Amino acid sequence: MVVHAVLLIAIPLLSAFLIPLIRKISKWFTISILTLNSIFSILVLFEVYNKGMIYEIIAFSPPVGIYLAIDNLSALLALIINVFGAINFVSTLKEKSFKFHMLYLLAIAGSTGIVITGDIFNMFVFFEITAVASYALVASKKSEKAVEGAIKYMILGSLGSTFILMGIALIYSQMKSLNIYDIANRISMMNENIKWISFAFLLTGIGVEAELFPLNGWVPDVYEGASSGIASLLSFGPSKAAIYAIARLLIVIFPSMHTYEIALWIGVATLLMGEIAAFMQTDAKRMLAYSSIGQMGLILIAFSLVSQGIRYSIPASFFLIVSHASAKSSLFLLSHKNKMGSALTKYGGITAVLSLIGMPPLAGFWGKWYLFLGAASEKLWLVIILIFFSGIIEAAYFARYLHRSIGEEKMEASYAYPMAVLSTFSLAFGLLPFIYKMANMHLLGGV
Amino acid sequence: MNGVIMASYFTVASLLSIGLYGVMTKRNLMKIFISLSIMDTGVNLMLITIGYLPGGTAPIENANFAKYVDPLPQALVLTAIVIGVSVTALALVLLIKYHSKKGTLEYKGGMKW
Amino acid sequence: MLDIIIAELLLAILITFFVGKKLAAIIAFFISLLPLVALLDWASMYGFKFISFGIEKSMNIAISGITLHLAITPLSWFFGIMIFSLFPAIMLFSYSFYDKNDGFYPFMLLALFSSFGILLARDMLTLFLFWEMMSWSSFILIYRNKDKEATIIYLVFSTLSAFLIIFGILLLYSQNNSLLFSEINLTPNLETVVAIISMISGFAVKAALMPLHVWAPVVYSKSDEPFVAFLAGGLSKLGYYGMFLFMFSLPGAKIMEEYFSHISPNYILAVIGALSAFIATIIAFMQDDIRKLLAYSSIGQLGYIAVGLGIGSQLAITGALFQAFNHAFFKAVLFLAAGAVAYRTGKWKISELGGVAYKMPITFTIALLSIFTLAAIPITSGFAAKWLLYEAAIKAKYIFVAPIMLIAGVGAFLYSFRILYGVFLGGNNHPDIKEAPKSMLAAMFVLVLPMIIFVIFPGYALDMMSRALSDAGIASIPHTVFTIKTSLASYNAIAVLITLIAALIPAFLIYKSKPHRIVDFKDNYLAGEIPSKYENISMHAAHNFYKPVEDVMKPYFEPGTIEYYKGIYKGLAILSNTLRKVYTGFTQDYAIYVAIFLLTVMGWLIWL
Repeated sequence: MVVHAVLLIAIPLLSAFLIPLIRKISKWFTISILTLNSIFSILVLFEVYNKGMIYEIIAFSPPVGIYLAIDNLSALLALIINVFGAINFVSTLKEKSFKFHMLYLLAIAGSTGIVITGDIFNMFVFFEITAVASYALVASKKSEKAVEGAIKYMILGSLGSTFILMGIALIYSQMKSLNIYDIANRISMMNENIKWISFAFLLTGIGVEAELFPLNGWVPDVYEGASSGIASLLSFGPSKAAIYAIARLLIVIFPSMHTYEIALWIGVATLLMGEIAAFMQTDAKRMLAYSSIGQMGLILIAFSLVSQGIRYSIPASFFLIVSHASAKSSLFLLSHKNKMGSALTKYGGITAVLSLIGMPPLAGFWGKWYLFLGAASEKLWLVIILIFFSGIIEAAYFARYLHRSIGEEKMEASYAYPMAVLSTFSLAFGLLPFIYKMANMHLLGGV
Repeated sequence: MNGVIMASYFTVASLLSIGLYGVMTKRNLMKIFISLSIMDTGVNLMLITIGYLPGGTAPIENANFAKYVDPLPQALVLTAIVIGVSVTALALVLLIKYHSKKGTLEYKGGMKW
Repeated sequence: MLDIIIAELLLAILITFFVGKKLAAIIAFFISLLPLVALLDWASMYGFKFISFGIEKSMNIAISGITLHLAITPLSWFFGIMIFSLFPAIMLFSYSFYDKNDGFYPFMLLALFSSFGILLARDMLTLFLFWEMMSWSSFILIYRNKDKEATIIYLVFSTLSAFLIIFGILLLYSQNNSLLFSEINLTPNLETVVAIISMISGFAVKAALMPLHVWAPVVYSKSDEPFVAFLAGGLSKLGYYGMFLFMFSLPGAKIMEEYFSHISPNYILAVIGALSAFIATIIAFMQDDIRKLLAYSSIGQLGYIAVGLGIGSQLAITGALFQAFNHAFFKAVLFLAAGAVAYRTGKWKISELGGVAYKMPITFTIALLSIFTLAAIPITSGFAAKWLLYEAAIKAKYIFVAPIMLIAGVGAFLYSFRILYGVFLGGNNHPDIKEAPKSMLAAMFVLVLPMIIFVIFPGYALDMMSRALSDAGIASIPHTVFTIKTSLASYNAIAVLITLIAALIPAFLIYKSKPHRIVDFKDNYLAGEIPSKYENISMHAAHNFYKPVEDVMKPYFEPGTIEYYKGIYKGLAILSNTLRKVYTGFTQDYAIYVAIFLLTVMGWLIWL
């Protein structure tokens, strides 16, 4: 069965706009759409696994026309966003408003769009869809903190998207093209200075969403303010899509030693800053937010090793993304009550924490393992030592967190089950053999 | 370079700087969002300028068009404007909410560290 | 066959998660015999024929892209016999120790499974993978006890150990482009030396070598005894297995000597080991909590192994392995005995215990035997091991190491005396306790057996060791079943035994011939004074037993090593509190950061 990958975006996008018409059943409608989309995303993943990269062109007149390019990482991310989105939706079942369901679908559609589109302007549009939906979702909790977080997110997000558009404009002024692979092929023809300026704009713009230091001022406030379900959505959806967009930027469009070097040091700075800031944090959600920042830094480091360690860079980021998406989303769900009363939440929480710290055979271990091999193949010993340092800090505050979460109080089933299922993913992805082959496909940008 | 284009680029640069200055210095949330809108306008102008061809006509098919401006940036700008409008609308909603909670639009610090 | 064993282990881990406590214990007991069965089967290649199922000696598990190489070697066989003998006993012990199944058995089996993996690993990825699995399964076992300090300190030190090890692995990998042990060629250059030192320190964390030991007292005193028996007996040995692997199986020790012309890290390791033995022994004096006492005693006893590895001569390594072997058993027994006492009395403090021997005579006898071994009383195998080590140090002219070890050896006797007197003898404070449950007794008895056997036949232990050593190209010391011959002297267990019995018989006859009475411990303690006058002092012989020593020594051990680590922790806290101030909460500041970032990236790319 051939699934048109475009359905992954089209279905949730269209149904989001259908929802106002069918307010009464919007919850069940959303669930069925999310399930359908998850199935499609699994089929797409298998298609990529079997056939390699998928290109798909749906021709309308530009810029409406859609050009999709799906490599192994984007197939994986599409799977994570959709499947996790469906599972995570269970935790928000109490939400009755149809607007919420609409926004949820929009956020899913937007994040999926970012990862599978092959067109830089479409990427921008999907960024905006995701961003607008997430601002509103964050504010949907209606508490003072939520609104404050949403406003901060919005200010920085808008600033970021302005910069993205600026970068796109600069690229278009030179290349007269918006297709990522077309641009990539002809990038050498670009004026050197304009090339770097546009790269800087794009990196800054996307970096805001991807939680890079120092663009991530909004992150702790938003995660603290948002409800647990939304914090979880943000941690596996938009932020992962954005970091992947940076990977495309870095590896496909602007591959050069300089950009890799910049990305490497930004990644190191993000990692250290996030982990050190998390170390003394007492609020669980804020701590998890800072830890998220650190993990994003780690993923960026993995991408930046692509020049020498391509053999390790893509698998590393592959597993780090899986590990972080599953572990952090489940921990955010756990932070709803933050008491690990039942065995389900207890072992779920422990699995998540262990995967983040990088214990085998969880996905986080393979991520760090490949990352270290990649860094070793470039002989970046300083970076390796800094990662160790941050890892030890991480272990300290996560151990404290685990101890603090001991308690008899039980969480509601609507949180406990998704939480446990989400954290199981880091175990499953660490164990399933076919994932290794998937991770080792170097499809990204045909490199 | 054509004078119109030069002037246009200059306007883009000033709009972006004004907007950025506003975001960096203003404490009033409304003013921050106005600054963001200004930046947005600047970028839109940038896109238009890129597609502009001195003396070019609108890209509408007729018998005697020889020089026409690049239509794609214009389409992009349309999209960008739509997005900008929706973002602004949402921003206003959030500001109303913020105002109803705090009674002011001045941001005097809140969640930190 | 090997794959079946592995599958059964994994299956048992799953099953024990869900079944009740009794069934879980039974399953865990039988499953924990499996690795031992495999080892006994493999024993045929070392000349011992017990059983033969023909379990394959090596196996590669290929998961696409990654291959885990497993194979048995003489060295891992020796360590395996040591470590896997502990597990069935621990499972037996836990049968009556726990009153519900809340995660002990599955994670204990996981620890067993990963220990099996560590010992069989033939490439560095496999080793590291199982090492980490063991780290986190033991972390969960510690986490179960809900102690904050133990949870944090164990996870932090596990991570530290993991990172030190992986750093070494990466350095070796970047030079050899292979993870297989058989394909690693060590050359004396800076990177290799750093790699080996880094790995040794990584393994030293788990081996609780000073100054990386601070987790051990905390964790040992805050966890369940059956698990601590594994920690002290098994896990620490795995640390030394790792050291041995990289120092002698891969000739790391030789490379280091070649690279450093004057003072080699091997010598430093020996000194650290001796100091570890010395300092930990003195700290062990001062402990009132029996678990802490045993923990420091463990650190001290394990220090001897490091001395042996550091000296690196044939004698020294044999002594080190012998010491490791003894320690695995006697420390496990002592922890289990402490657990059994606590199970009946609910007390841990030596000052609160006493007179337990009258009610728990079998536990007492078993503990007594282990204490003899621990204190290296001549005739026990503990003596043989330490004797080899002393001789090695003297022969290598380590004039600093040898005397310190000797002092520490005497010290070991002094603190073991406190266990003996404070816990088991003295005043009878516990009129209503019973002997420990049968399964606990059985467990301790099984573990004490090797000690009894090797009292008389040290040669058997040397037989096993000499094969383990042949792996590293080290010849074995000449020995027969009863005697060990070294260049300085020879040790004949039978002769010593006979002398001892000969000395004991007159003593016994004197004891029998004269009338005697049982002295109440108060008589002893108060030297005939009127008790009523001293009613409000703690009348316990073991209380403040070494007060004078403590008073002299204590100032030198303040602040403890842990205070330095706490200092680092506080420093990090200050760093964290300072750095996170950049998140001021004002979007204006964040916008400025964005602008700065944009300009920096632009500037970097355009001008560099």
